[in-house]
Amino acid sequence: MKVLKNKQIIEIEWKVSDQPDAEGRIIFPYKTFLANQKTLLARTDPTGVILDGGASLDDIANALDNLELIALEFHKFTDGRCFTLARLLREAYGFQGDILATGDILTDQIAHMQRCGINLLRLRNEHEINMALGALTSQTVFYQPAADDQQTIRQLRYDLDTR
Amino acid sequence: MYQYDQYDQKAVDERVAEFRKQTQRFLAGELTEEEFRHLRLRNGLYIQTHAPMLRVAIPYGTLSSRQLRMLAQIAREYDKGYGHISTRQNIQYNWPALERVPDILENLASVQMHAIQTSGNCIRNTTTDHLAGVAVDEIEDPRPYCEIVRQWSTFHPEFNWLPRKFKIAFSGAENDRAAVKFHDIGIYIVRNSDGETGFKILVGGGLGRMPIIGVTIREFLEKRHLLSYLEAILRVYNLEGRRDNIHRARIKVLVKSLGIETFRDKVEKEWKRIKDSSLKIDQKEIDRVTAFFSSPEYDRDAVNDTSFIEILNRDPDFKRWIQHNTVIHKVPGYRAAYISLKAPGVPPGDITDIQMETVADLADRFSYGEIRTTHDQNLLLPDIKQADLYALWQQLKVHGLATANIGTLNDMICCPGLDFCSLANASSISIAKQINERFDDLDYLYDLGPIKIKMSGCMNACGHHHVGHIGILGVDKKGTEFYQFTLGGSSENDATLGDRLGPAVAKDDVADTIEHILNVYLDERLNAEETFLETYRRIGIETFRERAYA
Ligand code: SF4
Repeated sequence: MKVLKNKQIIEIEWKVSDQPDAEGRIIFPYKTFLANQKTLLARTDPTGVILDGGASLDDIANALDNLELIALEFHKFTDGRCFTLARLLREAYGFQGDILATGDILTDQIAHMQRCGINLLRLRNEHEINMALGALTSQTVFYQPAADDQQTIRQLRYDLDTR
Repeated sequence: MYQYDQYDQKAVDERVAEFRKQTQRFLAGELTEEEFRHLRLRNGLYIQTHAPMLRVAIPYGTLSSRQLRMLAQIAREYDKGYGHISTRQNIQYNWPALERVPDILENLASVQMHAIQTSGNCIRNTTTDHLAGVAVDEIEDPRPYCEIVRQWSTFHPEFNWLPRKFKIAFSGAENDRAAVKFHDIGIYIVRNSDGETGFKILVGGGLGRMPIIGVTIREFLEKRHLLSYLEAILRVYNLEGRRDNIHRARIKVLVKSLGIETFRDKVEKEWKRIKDSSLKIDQKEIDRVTAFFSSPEYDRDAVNDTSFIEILNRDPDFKRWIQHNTVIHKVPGYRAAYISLKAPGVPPGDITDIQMETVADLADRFSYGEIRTTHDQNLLLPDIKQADLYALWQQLKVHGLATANIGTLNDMICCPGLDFCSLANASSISIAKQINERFDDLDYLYDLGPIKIKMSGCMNACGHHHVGHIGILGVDKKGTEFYQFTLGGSSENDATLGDRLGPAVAKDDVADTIEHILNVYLDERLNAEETFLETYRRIGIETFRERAYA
């Protein structure tokens, strides 16, 4: 699938499947994952899981070490829960793998998604993929600390002060 | 007041450019109505009955004269020559053209203003006491903390798509003039037993269809933890607030359904994890922001002026204005002066471009160039020397801005209603007019003492009717406007929701009903000092109910 990563459009090899015995880089729906957790965590191929805004991270906390990718599915672009899930995955659970945003997302949202720790973005169509690059640079100064390593405005002010 | 540095300016400029592109994409058909709706809302732009409405943020109700002049210019160039002050201290324009909104935003940015997050399901403009910094009952000036919260909440990457809108208010004084208990998060500056100031945090207050008084989630929070605590509350809400029903989506519903203990446990657990992160505010940052709000160089000699008392004794009209439209100031020899936007025949809160420019000039001349907007939809000049009050009053009079009715029955809070709002059942503005015309005798109004009438055109309660001493709600009965009364509400320290009086009355009977209610008060009060609210609380609703419909 085509995704946006680090301001570049790349092709990743992940596929979605609900067959527990599927081979290769597979992202499993949450239901499939829960029902076959033992089998799936024992896979030697890279494994991912799809969560949506209603997911409980505590329920998959034990599996995080064995996951290389978590896909956060936005059912509706107005549902902001996945922004919080992404931050918690990075900051509370220390998840180091890829976090992919998928579903109903606007290019206007992707800059904030990246700040929250989402590093792969699957946009809705080709046109949006092209627009996305512009959207990423629309905001270049940030008031809040988040899950990325952007300097905040407060830090920049202090650097100015101490220079 | 606060001044943008290069970073604040850049953040706002970038937002204007982004919105310009979004508007172009919408006009070119690249964004759907629904998608653009959410984006424009986050830039203050509604589509109402007649035209778009643009709500411009006035952070914690503070304006410079230069900013007010720009607001006047925008009213003239892009609107029909007036603006409307809202109950959340913002200003609204009712007639801008959609294509020109990016230009308006660019004009605003040139004077360090914006319309960011004034609507939509995100953190809104933080509001506070309009007397901040000059009030005699102030524990500590809340404005630096409002500014710190403004910066944290602006473009917050995680909280731009909340279940519902989110409003925060601060009060730093003994008397709550900011309706703190009716906000999603309400914050009081308090002093603990060690004499240290910090924050008492309330959560889950609000009006609307389900009015609730906020409950205390934390009795005392050290200042350095302000942002981490807010972030913890918002995080719990963003994940757990209901998204299936718009009428159940505010944080108050979550707090109520979980119970405050459970909600607090969740917040405190998250807060413990993040309280020592870079959200922590050190003293250096507090000092840096506080410096912007230092007092002007007051004239120590101001109190020695004798002209003020002389004129006061000579001119009864001036005396009335002083008594009703000005309040005591922390510095002897100064007063803070309200500018009433409730003149008879004018929709409550409306102000013309010329009036805005006049106020800006007067602020420059008499009040260190600063203006405040109030929760009651008036303006305030915070720092007037007593020797200047007479000249100020004379100028205000010329421009229809000296109606001496602050705190009286005619100083109504009123939502735009049917005239502008597509959700309205009732024409609040024409009712305001009816009330104004009926009760036009100032001496009668003064005798009644402080009475707050608050009126909403529908259940959404933008006019805060639940907390009016007399609340009026427009309801629709088979296509006809009716008006439902509540009595005894208050949004201050003694926060109370009004009790329903009885059946709704027809439009033409509103002023009569009020008159009946007032007659009960005048008959029943113990003496002229007992206020309407006190009498109501003493005798209860029954006596009013029996006689209101006579
Ligand atoms: S209370 Fe109702 S009528 Fe009045 S402004 Fe709000 S939504 Fe519109």
